[in-house]
Amino acid sequence: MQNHFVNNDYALFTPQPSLRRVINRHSKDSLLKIVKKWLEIPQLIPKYEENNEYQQTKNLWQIYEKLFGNKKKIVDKIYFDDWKNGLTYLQVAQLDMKYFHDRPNLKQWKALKLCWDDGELRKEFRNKEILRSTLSKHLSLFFANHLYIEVYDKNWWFRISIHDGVSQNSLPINANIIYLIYFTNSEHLLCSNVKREHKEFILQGLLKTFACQKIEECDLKGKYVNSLEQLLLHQKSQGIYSQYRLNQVDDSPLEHTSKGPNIDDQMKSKDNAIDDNFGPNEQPSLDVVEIKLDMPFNTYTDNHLEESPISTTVVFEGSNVIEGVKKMVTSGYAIPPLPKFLVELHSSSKNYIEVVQQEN
Amino acid sequence: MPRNLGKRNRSPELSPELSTELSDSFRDSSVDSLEDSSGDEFVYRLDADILINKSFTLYRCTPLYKFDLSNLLQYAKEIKKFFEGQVTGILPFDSKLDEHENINMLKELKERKVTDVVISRINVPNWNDSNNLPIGIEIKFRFKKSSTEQKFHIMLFPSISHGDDTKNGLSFSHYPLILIKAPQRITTIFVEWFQRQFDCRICRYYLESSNLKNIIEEWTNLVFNQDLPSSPSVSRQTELTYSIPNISEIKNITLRISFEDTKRLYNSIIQKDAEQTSNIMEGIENHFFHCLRIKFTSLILSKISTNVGHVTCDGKLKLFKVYSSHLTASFLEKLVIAAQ
Repeated sequence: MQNHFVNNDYALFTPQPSLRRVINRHSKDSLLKIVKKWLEIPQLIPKYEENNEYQQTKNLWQIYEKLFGNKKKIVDKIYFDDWKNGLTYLQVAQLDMKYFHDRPNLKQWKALKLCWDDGELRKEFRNKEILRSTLSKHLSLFFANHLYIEVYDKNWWFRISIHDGVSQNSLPINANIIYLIYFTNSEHLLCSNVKREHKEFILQGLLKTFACQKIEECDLKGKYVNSLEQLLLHQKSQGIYSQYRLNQVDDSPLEHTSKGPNIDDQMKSKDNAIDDNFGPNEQPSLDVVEIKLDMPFNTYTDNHLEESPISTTVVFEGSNVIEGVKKMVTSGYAIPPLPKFLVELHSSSKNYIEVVQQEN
Repeated sequence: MPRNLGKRNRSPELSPELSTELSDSFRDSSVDSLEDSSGDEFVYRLDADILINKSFTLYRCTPLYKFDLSNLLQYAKEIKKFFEGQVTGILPFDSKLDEHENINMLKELKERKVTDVVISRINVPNWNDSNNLPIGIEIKFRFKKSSTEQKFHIMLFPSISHGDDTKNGLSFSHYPLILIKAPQRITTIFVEWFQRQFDCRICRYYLESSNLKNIIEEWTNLVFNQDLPSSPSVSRQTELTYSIPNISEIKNITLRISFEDTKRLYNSIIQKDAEQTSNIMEGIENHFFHCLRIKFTSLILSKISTNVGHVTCDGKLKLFKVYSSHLTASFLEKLVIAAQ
């Protein structure tokens, strides 16, 4: 294996049904946007007899714009006409990246945490090209791959396509394509599903690239990238403290004098209990929360507790579990005071919690 | 009831199982001779095994008019002819389906050929009333191209407390619970024939939360009360799935308790209330209220899964092969009682 960075962006995938599928699954809009990007890269422009490249690309783009109404014609033109020899690795990476960036809920994401020992220098990257060459170099020690990084304003997305066991010209299967979301200036990453045989290598590659001592797999997974980001990056400012983060707090609380206690206040005490715990802002979405409870059995008619605990598991499933728990309190299905682990779900950054009865 | 196989000296050619080789007329005459000689005896061709380890859809049925137990073989012939008629398009389709579905159904059925329809009593050991065993219908299909055979089962369960009303002069029989394991198209055809023939109405049995709670109570009582000779071969955990009305953010909450812990829970409840029948659901819901402060009593129980089997509120049932077959009868009886 070569130990230096090889830029295999322009290697070709020959035309094959899976390639057409990769193009076809996009909407007309996104296809046109991508084609426009391609026409700006000199190596990708299809070669025709005309010598004036600028004029040629302008004409080509006009033809595409005219085809706007008909997706099949656009796909046919890309697949059979302009790039009939096949698409380069770079083009396929760009197509895939756009597809999944627009639909992040299609993937199941798992949180990773980079750990540096105290005193060690943290490696941070400002330049995408340097990060790309470093990570690619480390991954190439293990398998043939193609790495594509795209920079978005909130985070960087990586697409690692592993070409192990397939010829250079055929598309690897979906399970061999891994997406990573790197939250810049933080120690957290999100990773899509990785095959067991590749996981160790990917983690090693990341370890070497970021020069950290350890990578931890956090107990947090889900479909909703925004919520996972909130839970990971703003762990200490969820619930009621979110008001501080979102600048909803009164700047000068000493100016207003408080009124005396009111009857209305008592009626609002339940609402306050909810607000105190969950805060008034929207809760981040978790789609599965699993709680393992090992509590001794206890009926409410009998205060005598059994000696040994019963081990049970409670699984909450839905589109937004934390919000659901909040609504259960307002609807009366859950009676406050709720146990601490339920209320502090938003600050625990976990999907899986174990609760054990304390020895008193 | 003794099975006098010696009385009926059936040669292999006359057995309906090989009837596909014979022409219709020959078979008719052989069947007639069987009916003459059998009298009150029935052939137990179906075993309680067909009930285990399969997912059934539950249906309820209104009382059947003039359902004669001695005519079972005749009914089998008629069902077979009805299916064949539907396939070749002689008989009209169910008018409730639209054109498109009709064509698809015809195409699918044309691929298959009805090889045999068998109706008989199911030999469920320990059924409470051995004179009134459940009735099973087995429909065998074979794809034209291949030699694989598919079997679909439909089971009718007689009511537990009502007797046959023939004594009063009325000719109604009660089979409140029907279990069907067959593709949707076959089910539709069968239901149509049955409804027309016996002037009854068959519809899906959607269970309510309270039914599911009763079923759990009955099943745990049976399992933990009985002196089982040995512990079950596989012990599954008890799983209860609740859904919350009006809150869309949580699809469901699932509670899981291991088998041993369920047993301990049951025993501790029994110790406390010696006279009353145990109320294990109350115990479980209270325990979780204590841990989570969520009132499970006001949530909707939508699915239960225990060592015995699992039942969902859509009316799907599956029994596991964990306990000896003599308990299968008891489990099913509880279900029938709930359906009455």
